[in-house]
Amino acid sequence: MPTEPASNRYVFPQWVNYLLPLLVLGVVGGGLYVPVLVGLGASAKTLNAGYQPKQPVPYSHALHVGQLGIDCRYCHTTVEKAAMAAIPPTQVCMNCHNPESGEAGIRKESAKLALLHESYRTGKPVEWIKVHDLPDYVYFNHSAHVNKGVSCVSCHGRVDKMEVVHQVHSLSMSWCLDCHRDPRPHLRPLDQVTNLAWQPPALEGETPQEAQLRIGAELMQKYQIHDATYMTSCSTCHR
Amino acid sequence: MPPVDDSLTGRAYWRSLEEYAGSPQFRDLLGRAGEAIDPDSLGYSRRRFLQIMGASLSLAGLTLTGCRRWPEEKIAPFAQRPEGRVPGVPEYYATIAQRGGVAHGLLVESYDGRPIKIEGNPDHPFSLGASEVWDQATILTLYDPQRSRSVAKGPGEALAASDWAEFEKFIQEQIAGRKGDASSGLAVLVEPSDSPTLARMKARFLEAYPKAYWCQWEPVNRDQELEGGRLAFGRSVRGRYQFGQAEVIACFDADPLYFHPAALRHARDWAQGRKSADEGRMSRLYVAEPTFTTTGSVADERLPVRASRVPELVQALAVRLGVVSGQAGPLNGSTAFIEKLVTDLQRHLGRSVVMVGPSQPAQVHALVWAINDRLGNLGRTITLYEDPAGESPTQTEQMRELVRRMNAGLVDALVILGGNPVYDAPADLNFAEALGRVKHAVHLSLYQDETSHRCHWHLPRAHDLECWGDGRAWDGTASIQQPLILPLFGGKSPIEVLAMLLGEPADGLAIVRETWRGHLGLNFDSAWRKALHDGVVGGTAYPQVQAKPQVAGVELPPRVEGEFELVIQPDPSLYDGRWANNGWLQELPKPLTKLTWDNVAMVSVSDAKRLGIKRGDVVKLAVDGRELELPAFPMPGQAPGVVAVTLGYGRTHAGHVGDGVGGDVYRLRTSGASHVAAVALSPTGGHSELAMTSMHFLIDPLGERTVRLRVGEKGESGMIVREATLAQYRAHPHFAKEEHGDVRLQLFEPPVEFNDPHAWGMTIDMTACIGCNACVVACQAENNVPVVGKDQVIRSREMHWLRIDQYFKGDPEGSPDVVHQPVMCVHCENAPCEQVCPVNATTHDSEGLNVQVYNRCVGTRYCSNNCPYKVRRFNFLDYHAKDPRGGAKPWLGMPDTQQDQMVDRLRRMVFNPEVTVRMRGVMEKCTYCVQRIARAKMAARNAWAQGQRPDALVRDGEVITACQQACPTQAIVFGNLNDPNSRVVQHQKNRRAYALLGELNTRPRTQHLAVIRNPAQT
Amino acid sequence: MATLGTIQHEAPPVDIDNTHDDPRHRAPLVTGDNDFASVTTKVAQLAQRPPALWWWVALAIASSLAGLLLALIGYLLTTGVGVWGTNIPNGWAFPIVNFVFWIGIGHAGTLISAILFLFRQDWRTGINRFAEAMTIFAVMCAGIFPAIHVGRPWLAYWLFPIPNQMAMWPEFRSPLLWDVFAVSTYATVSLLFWYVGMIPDLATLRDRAKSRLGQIAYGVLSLGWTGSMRQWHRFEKAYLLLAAIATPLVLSVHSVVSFDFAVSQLPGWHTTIFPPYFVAGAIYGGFAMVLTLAVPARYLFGLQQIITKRHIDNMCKIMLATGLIVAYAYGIEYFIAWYSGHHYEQSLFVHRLFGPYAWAGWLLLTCNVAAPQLYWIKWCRSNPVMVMIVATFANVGMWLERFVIVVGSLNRDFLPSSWGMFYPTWVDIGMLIGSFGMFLTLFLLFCKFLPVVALAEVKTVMPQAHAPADHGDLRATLGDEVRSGGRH
Repeated sequence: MPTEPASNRYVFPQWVNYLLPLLVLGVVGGGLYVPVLVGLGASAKTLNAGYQPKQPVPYSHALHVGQLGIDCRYCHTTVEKAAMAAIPPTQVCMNCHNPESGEAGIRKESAKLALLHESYRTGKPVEWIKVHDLPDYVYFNHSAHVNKGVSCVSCHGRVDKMEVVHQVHSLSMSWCLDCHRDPRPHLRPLDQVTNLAWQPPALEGETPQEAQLRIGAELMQKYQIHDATYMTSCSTCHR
Repeated sequence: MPPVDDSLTGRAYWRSLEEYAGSPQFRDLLGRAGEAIDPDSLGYSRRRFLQIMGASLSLAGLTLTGCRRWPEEKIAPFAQRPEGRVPGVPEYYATIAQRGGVAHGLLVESYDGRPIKIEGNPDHPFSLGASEVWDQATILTLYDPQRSRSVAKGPGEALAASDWAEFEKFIQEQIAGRKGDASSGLAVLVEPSDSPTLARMKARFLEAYPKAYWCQWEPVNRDQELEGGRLAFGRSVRGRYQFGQAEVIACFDADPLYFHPAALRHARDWAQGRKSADEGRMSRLYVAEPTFTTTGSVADERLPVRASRVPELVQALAVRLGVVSGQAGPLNGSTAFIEKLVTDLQRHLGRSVVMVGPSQPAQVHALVWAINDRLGNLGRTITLYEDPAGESPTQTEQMRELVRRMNAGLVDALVILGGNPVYDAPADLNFAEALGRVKHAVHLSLYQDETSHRCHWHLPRAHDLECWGDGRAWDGTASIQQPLILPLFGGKSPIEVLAMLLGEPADGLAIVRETWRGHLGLNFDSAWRKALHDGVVGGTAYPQVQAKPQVAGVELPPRVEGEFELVIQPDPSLYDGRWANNGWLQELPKPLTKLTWDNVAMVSVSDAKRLGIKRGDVVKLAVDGRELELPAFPMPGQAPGVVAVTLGYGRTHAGHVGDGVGGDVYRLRTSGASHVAAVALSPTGGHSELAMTSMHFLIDPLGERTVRLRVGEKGESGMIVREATLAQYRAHPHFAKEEHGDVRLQLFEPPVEFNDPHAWGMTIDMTACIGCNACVVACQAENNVPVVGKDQVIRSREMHWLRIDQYFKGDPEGSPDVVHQPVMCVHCENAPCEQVCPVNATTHDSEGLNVQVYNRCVGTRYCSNNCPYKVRRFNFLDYHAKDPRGGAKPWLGMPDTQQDQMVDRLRRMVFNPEVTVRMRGVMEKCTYCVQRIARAKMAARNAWAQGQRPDALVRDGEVITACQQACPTQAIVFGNLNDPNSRVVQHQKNRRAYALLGELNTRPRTQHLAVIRNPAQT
Repeated sequence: MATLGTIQHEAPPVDIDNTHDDPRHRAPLVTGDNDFASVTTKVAQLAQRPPALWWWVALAIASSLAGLLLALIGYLLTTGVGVWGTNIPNGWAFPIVNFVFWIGIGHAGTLISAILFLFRQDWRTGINRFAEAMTIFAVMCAGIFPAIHVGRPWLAYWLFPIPNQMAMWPEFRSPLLWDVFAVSTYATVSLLFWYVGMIPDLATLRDRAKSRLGQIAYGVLSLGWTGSMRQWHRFEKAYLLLAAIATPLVLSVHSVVSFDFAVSQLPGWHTTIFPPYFVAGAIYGGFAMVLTLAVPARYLFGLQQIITKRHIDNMCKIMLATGLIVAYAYGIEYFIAWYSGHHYEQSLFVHRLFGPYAWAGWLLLTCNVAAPQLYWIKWCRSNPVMVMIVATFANVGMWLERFVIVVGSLNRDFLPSSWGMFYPTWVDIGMLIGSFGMFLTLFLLFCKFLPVVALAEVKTVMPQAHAPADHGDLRATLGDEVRSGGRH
């Protein structure tokens, strides 16, 4: 073996020593980073919740539902009958905002309604932008939920407080499953389904959560809501 | 041009839609809709409206998209929703389909204005809810991007675009002026139809143009049958056969269960007489035929015989029954058959049916009428009706006359309303050449086909689902044909074009209403609405005929001599060729051959052996000078000396899908010998690969031995096919269960029973199944099953969820028995596929469905390997985007977006939005139509929640699977095994029920009912 | 041809026969006039001198084939698995066959390094290094196929139990999932084992490296190995432990892989003998591959005296032994099929020999049952050409075995209506060849840049390693023996 200065003896330069902490950092950091990236960065919540597209007509749920107290089903008529909670036809808006109905026509000069009147004249649909958009392989049915005491608010949030509607929940599969595994926290009497502000009446010494669970349990019986095995079957949502 | 080519996609058509939505007449329709004066004009505006809805909705993905912020989607609500409409909830409209001019009723499911699925109309006497393969497939033709899109001017390869206005100008200049005596140069060629409106328009046309020549022609016609009736009764009659009441049925070269215009009703009635085996009674079916037909495949006593010898057979029968005096010719080989038949017939006087097919000469038909009369069947098992054909000469005669006139230069303006004579007219008449002599040839058709390219005017025809019309069933019962959608490409119907020729507005609705105004009584509108709703107009049957046949001095025609005779039949998939551009039908495995994408020359197995012909070897067929090369197909149970071919192939202008598929048999078909002809057959040494979905009966000897072991010898049960004769069944009622009983060896019982709250199950009655394929296409239509193309079928990658396995039992050179065994996923409770899927993509739901979750599947194909029934289908390529006539193209975008980008938008309109469209790399299979189950459950639960029914359970019959609905013999029963009164439970309790491969302890939810045959005791 | 050149002027004869057994003393495992230095030189120079021409040629060919593999994978991903010949019923074909084949190849390496090490089989030292390398590369080739054979490869990560927004776990009952764990564990441990074993030799290369870059590269890789007593002590411990960990894996991996088939209900797959049978087969095939590489390598690299005839001889014997086990397994398969009285099982095995894939069945028996029997003859074991021929047969045979099991069982199962033939497409074949290309590329690079022989270990089995204390009296004679090439 040729004799060399000790520093060079094993060609193992100083800086290599820093590789070790780097390595540790890389492993540990990476171990943390990946879950963070995947779990948060790419999660359905990050991607979907808060989605708030600009609609062609500046319709305010806060005004119509929140202040005027119009029931959801006045416009979304089919929500109890069908899978789709039908976006209302222009005609429904015209019940109040009809330009031809003389004095009765509310704010019929408003520029905001121009597009609606246009549609009413031509019969061309107003192209609303879909906010709550599930993948095409998910077959959500509004009637199935509404007729079982699941309130609008459970999925759509306090729409009655929204100027422009946005998506509140992630609508991810696990989010759906939370309720399908244990619906009690989301059940309420059928007549309260569209009452977005409803609070479970608590007996004394009962927290709202406890009250909700109690009521939820009762309603599960009453509405013959199936057990988790049934409700988490793939065919419940996928076809 | 491939369907994905932009110029052919629906995009242009969407644009036109938008424009239409803005157009004034649309707006005024809208205005009227509010007040709802006339329900039909409203219906019109509604359909038009829904059509636009369909458009905008269909833009939404319909595809598997991965989890990400998917592209922005629009919702286009109605500006004004028609009352009673609920978006996303399908509606059903009654209408009709016609084959050979005879109608049967349909119900069409329309989803947001898009017709997407066709069912039979349960209220229609000649459908009873069942449907034919063509009914199921026609929806695909409706959305065929290659349908003709505009009026065009020819002749030539490339037609010059034109429009209706220009055509109307042509009418003004060339036609309108010929009213009265000037009309001699005019001729009209129509497809025959019993439609009252067409008859009315014909009358009015001939009124206006008295010298015009009116000709009816369809290549698959009943000329000889009609002639036979005239011979026997001196008038045109048709027989309504009551197979339900017949205990002995004898068919001579006839196929009442498949090709007969009343096939659906025949099949239903016949099946009753078979299922009664469980009560110990069963009809017996005798069939003497040159090659296997659907009817022959379920015969109890079958005699393969040359078509040209059938007359002698019938004569012999007539002689033995004392119908005619004289001496029967030598019956070498068929004596036993005749003897059995005679004894049986004499034992069942008045309870039998003797039938002869349209391919047999008129004299034979006459004889058979006499035989039936002698047996006392007329008025009992056979009802005679007056045939609308009346005195008119046969279609062949009319066609001959037309061509004569054309050649003589007597026709200078020919209007062809439907049909494709250049392609399908008798070869000896040389219609194409005659057409060249016509100054103004006008052709109305769905496609720019062979005839269009030789005419001066091509007019786009409206699809049956796009136009008003009417028709009459086999017994004359009338129905209205109502459109589901306005013509996608501005097509017109024949009656509308006739109206134009008369210088009247082409308003189909008005024309049809005019026809019926007289018949529907005083309260017309309500009667009309009822007629539309029911799909049937009561009390419109043809008058019955009471007459005795006179057959004295009927001479049999000279028999076809020569070593081989050519038997020409319509094709079980393409019929006469009009369906050539329909991928579903092109890829439909033909009954008995399981052949797709081709037509073949079927030869008997013995002839094939003698000539050393293997399957696929190309042979040359020569009929006096006319030659055609086709791949040969040795067909078990075919009479020696017979070469059987089917029509409808070898199209040159069918469209991208159909062009150049198979060989054109019309080239061999002459007006003199349109069904049977002497032919010379010679191997060419060439070979062509045939695409078959199942190849089990021509394999190595070892394989054949194994198959025999599993299927069983002739007349015996095998491991997978249980069968017995009626006698044996009476003796051992439990024969089906005895062998290989369903063993239940398991260390532990499964934790879940899969019966909460329903337990879905199915039975398939192999005694009733005739292998007609209706279920296969129905399943394809309902479940968005793609067409894969010939190359993929050859690689055995066909996608049909439901297959009808066919097994021949016995000597292929003699007359083997046939077993039809429909197999789709049997939903094993103990499913082998489930525990091997690494990602849980296939699991059980709580009601016993073995569900396949497409969006979870990564495509390991392990489940298919482990499935003993091999019912799972895999998307090896992106079949919805793949051109069926070409290879698959690589895709460089986001993998999960493929179909959304690449599937032609117009073709996407046919997709069932209730069923996920599968992308490449995903496994799929029968789901028991889970979407229909879900719909029924949802309805039931909502009704219960709103206090409209006592419980939330689905009642028996509320879920009907697509296959079950289509089945003419009701061989398939589906239902809830928890409900002791449900039909499916009754069937599974049936002694014939057994679990296919039950010995593997898969515990299938679908059970098969064993085959019972009823051969004559010897 | 520099490498070869250097060997020419070494003391002839180069290739010395040391296969004889003399009860009086051990046969030498390094022949010729070799001392520590010469051994080091022979091995180290491979990494130091510029590679020979043939190496460049071989690398060019191999790497272009590897490129073909990559290109075909691209085609596959963009178009779909339909580019293969797989179909229904043959849902699995070439990709899975290749996967099982390569995994099998991987076995020899770990077996040699782990089990033989624990059994103190000194002769392993000459070959274990590149047997291990071979293992790593084989496992890499194997790993590719399961990943790309699924229909939607971009979602293949769903097989790993990662928490996800679907709240879905994989199906832990599925053998494919067991595969994921078994193979990944195996790959990791083999890699560690290989690397740890290499550390002292990397240090040697470092010390002999001329270029600064080489020095640093080898230096970092050798983790500052000083060769101190303490390091050697730790090293031996670590190596021993790794061997202990690796040993069960040798048996487990292919047992688990065999479950893919054994756990299913398909006749021809559904059988309990698969685990032992697959393991034996794997070792058999693995050694065949080692031989196929070792025999030419020892000439091309002039290692005849380190990878001696005795090594070759021993490996042939192992092939013979495992080959017999495989033959027995085949026999049992057929016997059980007959004995079971199960129709579907029986007909499957009849079809194997007389059905549409009979050619594969018989060729398989020739390659895996008949061919190895030649190794009973000493001449066949010592004649390099014969060794190569038989080993090649075995390689082909082992691939065919998997083909017969996968396709041969799938193509004719229960319902005759679903029977179907499998025909490979050009992509199938291209990928098979491509995987060999990738394997060879990696192997050639390994030969060039890493110590192909475990120097440190080889030295321990050289006479010089024995201190004068033990069998000193023998030492002179032994020395003579070794020099005289052990001839009497």
